Amino acid sequence: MIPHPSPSTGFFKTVGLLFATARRRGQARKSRQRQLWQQKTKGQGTDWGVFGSLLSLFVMCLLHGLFAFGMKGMVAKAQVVELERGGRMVLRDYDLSRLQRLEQEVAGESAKIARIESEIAAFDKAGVDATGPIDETHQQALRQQLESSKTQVLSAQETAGNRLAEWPESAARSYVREYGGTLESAVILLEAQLKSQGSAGFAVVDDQWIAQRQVSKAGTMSLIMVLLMLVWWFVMIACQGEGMDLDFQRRRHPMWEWLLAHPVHPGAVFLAEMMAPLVANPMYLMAPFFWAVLFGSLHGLTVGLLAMALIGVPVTMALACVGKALEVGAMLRLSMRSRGAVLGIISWLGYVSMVTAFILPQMDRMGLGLVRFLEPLSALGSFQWVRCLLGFDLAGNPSLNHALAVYWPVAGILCAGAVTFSVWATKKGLAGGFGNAPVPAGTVLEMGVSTLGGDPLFRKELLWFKRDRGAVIQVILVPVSLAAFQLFNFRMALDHVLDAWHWMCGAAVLFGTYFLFILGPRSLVSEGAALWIAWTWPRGMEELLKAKARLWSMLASGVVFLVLLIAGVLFPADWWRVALVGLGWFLFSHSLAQKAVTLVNKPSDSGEPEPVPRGRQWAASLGTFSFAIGVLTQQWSLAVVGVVFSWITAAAMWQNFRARLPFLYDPWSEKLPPPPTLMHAMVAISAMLEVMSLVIGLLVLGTGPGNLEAGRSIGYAVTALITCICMSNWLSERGVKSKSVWTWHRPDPGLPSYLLMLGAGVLIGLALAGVAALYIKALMHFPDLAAPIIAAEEHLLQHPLQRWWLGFTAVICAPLAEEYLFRGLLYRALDREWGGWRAVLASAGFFAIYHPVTSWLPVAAVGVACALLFKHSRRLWPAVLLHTAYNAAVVFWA
Amino acid sequence: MLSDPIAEPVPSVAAHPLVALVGVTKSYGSKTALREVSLTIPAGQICGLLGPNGAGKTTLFRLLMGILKATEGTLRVDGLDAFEDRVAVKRLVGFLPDEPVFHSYLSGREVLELSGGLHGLTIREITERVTPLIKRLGMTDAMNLFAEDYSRGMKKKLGIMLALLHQPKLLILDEPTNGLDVESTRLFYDLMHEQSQSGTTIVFSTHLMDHVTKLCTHAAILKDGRIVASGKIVDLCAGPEGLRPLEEVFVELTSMDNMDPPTPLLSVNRTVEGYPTD
Repeated sequence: MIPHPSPSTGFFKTVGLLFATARRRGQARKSRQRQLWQQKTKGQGTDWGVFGSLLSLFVMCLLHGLFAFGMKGMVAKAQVVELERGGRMVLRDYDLSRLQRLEQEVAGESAKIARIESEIAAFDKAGVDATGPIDETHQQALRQQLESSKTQVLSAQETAGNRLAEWPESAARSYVREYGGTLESAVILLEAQLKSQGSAGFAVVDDQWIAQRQVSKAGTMSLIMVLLMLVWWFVMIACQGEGMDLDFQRRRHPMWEWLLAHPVHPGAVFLAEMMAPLVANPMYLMAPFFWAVLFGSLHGLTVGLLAMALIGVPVTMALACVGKALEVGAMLRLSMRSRGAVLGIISWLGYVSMVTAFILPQMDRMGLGLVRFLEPLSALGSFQWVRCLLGFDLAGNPSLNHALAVYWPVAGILCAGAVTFSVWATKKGLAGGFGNAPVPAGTVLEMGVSTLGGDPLFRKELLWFKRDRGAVIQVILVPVSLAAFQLFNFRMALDHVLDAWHWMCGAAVLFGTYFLFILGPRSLVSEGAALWIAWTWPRGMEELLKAKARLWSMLASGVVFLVLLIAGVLFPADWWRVALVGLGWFLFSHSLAQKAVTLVNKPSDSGEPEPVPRGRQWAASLGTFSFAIGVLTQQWSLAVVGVVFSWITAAAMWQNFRARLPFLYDPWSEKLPPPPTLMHAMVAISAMLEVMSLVIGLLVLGTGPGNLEAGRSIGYAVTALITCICMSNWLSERGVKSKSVWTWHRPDPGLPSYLLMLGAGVLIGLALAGVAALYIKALMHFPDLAAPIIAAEEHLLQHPLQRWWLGFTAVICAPLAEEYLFRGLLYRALDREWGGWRAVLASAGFFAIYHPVTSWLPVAAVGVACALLFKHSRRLWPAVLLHTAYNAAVVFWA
Repeated sequence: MLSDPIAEPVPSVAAHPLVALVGVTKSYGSKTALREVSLTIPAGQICGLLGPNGAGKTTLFRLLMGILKATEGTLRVDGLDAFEDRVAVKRLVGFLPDEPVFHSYLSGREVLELSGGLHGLTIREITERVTPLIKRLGMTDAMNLFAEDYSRGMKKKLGIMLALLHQPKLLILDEPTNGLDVESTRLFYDLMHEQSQSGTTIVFSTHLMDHVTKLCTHAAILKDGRIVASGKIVDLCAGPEGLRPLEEVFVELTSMDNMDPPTPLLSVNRTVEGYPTD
């Protein structure tokens, strides 16, 4: 007996079953979360889960409301562009009404003059024509009265005229705030417009576009913006998926592969799947609210609510179907490599369109720029039909039926299309991903040997970039979007990007900095589960990450240099400054990329990187933005400090990272790197500076501002010595004797040679002081640079006691403390990391940037000399003597 | 075939233990995966590592590869500390994981070239070394396809080629025949024999007892992080009435019911579940 095969389950029964399962799953998930929470808090916790979901619903409501108002803002900007095309300039309300008042005043005074003049003329005529006796004196008095009132009115007219003439200057300020450009050019524009057309040449944007008469009159550009914003909303909703976050690891394998193994209709499975996001994502749940706000603000509350039910619900459902169909299509019909990329892009579109919806209403000038950019679209037609989308008929009268006549068929077609597409894709089966795709020509070792050196790791990264479409998402879209959202915080500065070269360069550097800082920690994402291969190579992980850092810095530099090139073209007079920023970026970007890479963590099994500990993130971000801010604000010393600091921090992070790297898979065994590390030296120096400024501040506060120099000297001396003692104590607690900081671990050269080195230290110090004196003399030719030096010198001449305080600090305390910190700790740690001249120069550079800008060069020379002397004499004392001799000579002799 | 200047059999060191573990304990936080494991594997021998799921085989392999650091005890590979000298150790060791995964955007040939390049081989050396192996494993056509699209067995074959590429002294293979077809399994055993004869030491884990009996000279049985038996196969299987099947020995040693005396292993088990002994 063969059992009769069970009949297939009916369409709607299947849908019902799946929905019931989805609901049960949702409920179970919630109750489990509640249980976990209760267990964690041992029954003491309040369940805020309900409030959390209410809050997310509220935020989504806000988003959709904001979107409707954002639409209004874009229409207002379209109106500005339309008015400008009509030859008018758009002003603020206040400026235009003031102009009109001034014009009226001038016109009024002119009318008065005309009246008086006609009176005088009549008077004269009466005098000539007079037949009767005339009282001469009376006549003359009257005449004089008329003349004097004419003079009065004339002067009033002149005053009013002057005020009118001054108007462009006052209006220009708000004009520049609104549209950018320089004050002078705005004044010229406004004056020309005023001269040629008077107040008729200006207009304000009517804020009441939503009132129906405005829509009925709305120009083509406004209608185009309405259409584009609606399309944007449609894309945003269709790309949402089930979660609201930026989810790049969406399930790549269809769950319904298993479902379809049952005797059910595939269409039913898909319908149930497609409806699932509607229940899961608050974005979808609240989507109809957008229509309530949009139609409610145009036609009143009742129509708004009607539109929410009649338009919002079907359109949202249709869009959910479209989103799911895209996902289905990608999963079934694309190969693995493209699948991840397409799903990633869908997810990215959903996320970015959502976030920009929050941002755009606040970006006035960018929105205006966007409308201006889109202006050519108005040549495509008059777009009168767009009115129907807002609930009007073609003549501009309100009519909800017109809107329904558009949206219902659209929703129906989208829904049917999505289901048909999904069913078709399923019937075709999983076509992609299982065919073996042939590899394009050119293998790892062959490709680009001549151009990019012989590093197979680096070429592997290039191949990844070239072949894996998901790479574009991981490496470009994610960091670019996250960096762009960060730039939102700097939008005030960014609005001026086109105004001056340094704004543009600064924005480029800022963007590149964020880009690298976000990309670095994601470095191992592309390795995924294939990371095991890197373990089996000798030093595989370290070289892998360095290759990544190289690639990241090249990518970021590509973007930054492009912007710098544009800056060079736009501001040709400042090309050499732009070129200097480019050089700075070249020096900066690689160190930043290396630093950011040290934030990497082992990716979890799903491929996403784990969060980075706060402390490490903080250490890596030290001074990261100094370069960008230095460029933005034109503080060049800060920019240089940023570059030097970044290099040293990168080295410090790597020194620690290298010690940590073997434990990437074994965090249980991880131990801190043995002290003293480069990071210890940097923290000690930074802490010394922080505490010092505090101590000096307190001293000066206590003794009065006249003692600034003395306060500075004493504060420095005290803090420096305390820092060294604390550091030395801290190190000895960790088994590092202070003797091993003061001597270099090398064979002892013997006493005679040591004495020779001590003498050499004094001589070199004096020689360098001589050079410094010449350098200061040379500086005196540049008044700007010389001013602070002269001021300090004069202050010391007036207060001779303070020179002794300065001398005490500079000759006794500073050499001891600074040699201990900068040479004993910092230089030696750097020498371990880099070795050779690079360590010497970097430690000297770091030493220099802690001094005033004018003394950078001589101090760097002292830094180089001390570092070399320390390394060659194997002891710190010759360097201390060099430093003492130099300081003494500079303070008391130069 | 793979001619190997490093792993040339040297008679004088034949008895020298290539792998030596002394009192190795490995804990992940409060969980202990290996407890006082001591094991020596003489050079040129094939050692089968047996044990139920979760016994600590993979942890042991990772310790040998220098990916994990032992909480206590020492691991030496050819006299080098497996963790402290991990860079040098990785030059000596070829590794095949249980489920090899490859970069989705590289072809099989490119994976080989990448790995060979990082072991310092030139493209000519790589081609010379792997071409005969590719032919033997029947992978000639597959080499130009993306490694991600390979079937499980093909991925294993590529993994074996990667492990042999730099001609290691020690091969560590995690369930190497998993997913291989009958013919490839046979081929794999031939390969292992050849490697062993040319002096390479092999450690591999498996659940297939007859394979161990056929291939190995030595075996070690892990149970809850402890070595419950190790040594030559003939010694392990020796019973009062001649040689017993290895499977019988294994079941006896690893099943909880047949524990005699039961105490040490039960106490180990408790600690694993989170009751610290000290």
